[in-house]
Amino acid sequence: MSAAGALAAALLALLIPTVPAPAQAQGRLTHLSNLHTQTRWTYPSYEAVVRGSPTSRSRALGHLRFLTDDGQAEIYIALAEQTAPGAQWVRIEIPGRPNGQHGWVPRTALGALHTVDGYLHVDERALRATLYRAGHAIFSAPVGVGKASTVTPTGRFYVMEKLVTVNAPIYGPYALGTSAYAPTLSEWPGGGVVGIHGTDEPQLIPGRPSHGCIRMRNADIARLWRLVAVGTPIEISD
Amino acid sequence: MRDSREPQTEGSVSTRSRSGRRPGIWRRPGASLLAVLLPLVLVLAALLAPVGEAHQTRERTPEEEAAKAAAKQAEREQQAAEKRTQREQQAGIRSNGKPIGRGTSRENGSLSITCTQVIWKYKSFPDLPGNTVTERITIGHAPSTEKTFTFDGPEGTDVVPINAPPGPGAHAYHIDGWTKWHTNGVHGGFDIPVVVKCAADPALEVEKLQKIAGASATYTSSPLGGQVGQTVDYEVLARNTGNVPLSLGAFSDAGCDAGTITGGPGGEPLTPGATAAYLCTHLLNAADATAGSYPNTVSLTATPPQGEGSPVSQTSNTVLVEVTQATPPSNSPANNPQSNTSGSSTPTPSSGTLPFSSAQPPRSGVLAFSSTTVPRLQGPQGCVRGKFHASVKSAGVASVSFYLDGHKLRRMTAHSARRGLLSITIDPTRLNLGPHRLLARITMVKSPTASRAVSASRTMTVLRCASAAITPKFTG
Repeated sequence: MSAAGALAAALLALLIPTVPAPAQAQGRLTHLSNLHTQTRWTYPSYEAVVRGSPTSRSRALGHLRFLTDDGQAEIYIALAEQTAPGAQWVRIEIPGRPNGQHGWVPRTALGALHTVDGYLHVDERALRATLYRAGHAIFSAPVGVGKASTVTPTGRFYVMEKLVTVNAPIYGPYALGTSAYAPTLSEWPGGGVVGIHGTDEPQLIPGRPSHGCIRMRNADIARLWRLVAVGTPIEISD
Repeated sequence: MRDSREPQTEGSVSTRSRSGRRPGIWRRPGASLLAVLLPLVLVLAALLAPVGEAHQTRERTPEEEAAKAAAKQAEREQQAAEKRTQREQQAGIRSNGKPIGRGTSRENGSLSITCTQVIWKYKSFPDLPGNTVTERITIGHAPSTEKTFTFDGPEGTDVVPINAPPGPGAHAYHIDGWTKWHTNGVHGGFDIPVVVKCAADPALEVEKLQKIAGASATYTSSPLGGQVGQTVDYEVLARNTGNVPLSLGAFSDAGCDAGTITGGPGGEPLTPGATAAYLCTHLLNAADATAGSYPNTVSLTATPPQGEGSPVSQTSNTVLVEVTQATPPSNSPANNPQSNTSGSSTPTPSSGTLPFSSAQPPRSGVLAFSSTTVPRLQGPQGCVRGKFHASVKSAGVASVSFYLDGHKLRRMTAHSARRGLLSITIDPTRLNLGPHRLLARITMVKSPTASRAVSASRTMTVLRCASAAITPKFTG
């Protein structure tokens, strides 16, 4: 380990015990999702302010949204719930740029919790997507990911919407909208949402031909589309 | 993955010759001799033919008459079928019937059918809002399902998910898509059967829900809080999401107390799309309080008919009750119905924007309500694209007025306050995309001891979404 790395690790070790998590400091925290075998998701009830910590005085990070850019229902992954006297808050993943943000909303801002089992892992190095359920791989297929100038973002995301594509052979017969946003294509129509979809150029799969989306052969996306549920977590690693 | 087969091509149009005359016969050697003899033969044949035919008519039996009539009828039907096929091929469709009314399917739409969905695509309609078509889908010999689809402008696409069963044995069967419209000054329709062969695809979903016994809250998958001595009610929903019947084995659940399991399909196979519900309970005890929580998960195995896939096993979600030691209540719930001293806990509203109290109603035997015991407004979650129901259901509801975005839709009075189910059907197709606020003003039955009836409002958000069959805006 380099000297800088060691210094950073030491600083981190000093900081962790001295900065308690806000949730733990203010109430009982219950984990709702482990993002592998049990993930809870929900629709919003109203366009509540998403805050940095579970208190109404915390800084605002944004608002809940009802619709995606494709006019489908926006959903949110419920990560944890804090129960404190007089208030319940839920920690959610915030879809949007920059990727990977989390925030807190009042429990009343969310509807009933739905549960999904499993997750989709996309390995950008191996150029392969694998769907796991109950800890077992039940689907695997080669993929095409973003080229060097328009990389596919890495991190934890989830399936936001399931679409049947119309008049768009470049997307194949089916597409999955995700909570991930392309890091470099902010001006793209719709904001640069990363999708998982089919293709009219199957010869480029596996490979790195895309603008950030994850492309699959049409037969593979048709099978995945049927297997995967809205709210399924997606792990993209390189 | 179930496959679908494209429709088989129609039988080709008959190309048999009606004359049987062979070109070039008159140029063969000896044609001059034939030219002399042939007229003579023809004249003789013409003279003899009526005699022979009359002779045959005299000797024909009634059975022969009937057979000849049937043959003529069959020939007429064959000719009509050929003409119909020619017309349909010219129109670019295959049909088991005539195009209905004006507007051919080639001009106004098309249909594609697989084992999992039917996609209707309409085009060249008037560029007006509210173009409405009636769609009917018939799978094999099953009863038809019919719905209406409304779209704005000249084009529209409707994706209808279906769950086609595997054909009998290895055989294919028909899925028939029928549509008809009479809207905005145009009318027409088409009727297209497609031959498909769907593979068996056994699939099962298992969901576990819970609630604290006695609480008026509905079952939920969310974590709850409970105290030692309280009973947790569990509901296990086994849903057949495949396309073949499933036989559920003996149900056992280690998280339930012995002898408390009831329900299930009763030994009958679970048909595709059907849901079986098991119920059981667990009494929270000191050991649960020591552990801090009581998680519960269940696994189910279902077996399809022989030759239609392998058995499927599915594990449910885990539900959790945070358990604490019982504390003596400061007030009797009967005296203070709004207090929540029962500790039943974590209110988890499943919908709506108003918090829902899990306080128990008084058990005095006389109907009495507070604003916290007014029932919830129940309706769809997520996207609505077609007609949906919203309802209020509880004993003691006297009347409900429904409002959508501030506009009053309807006031309903319960015929039976004890049954208390009031439901309204709403067609969202004319609503703009986005959220809409549905409000129910609920009035409860006036109790003999109260000065006036209790009423309260309940709201929920109805989300009108775009079609899921679109051109995405992804980065590609």
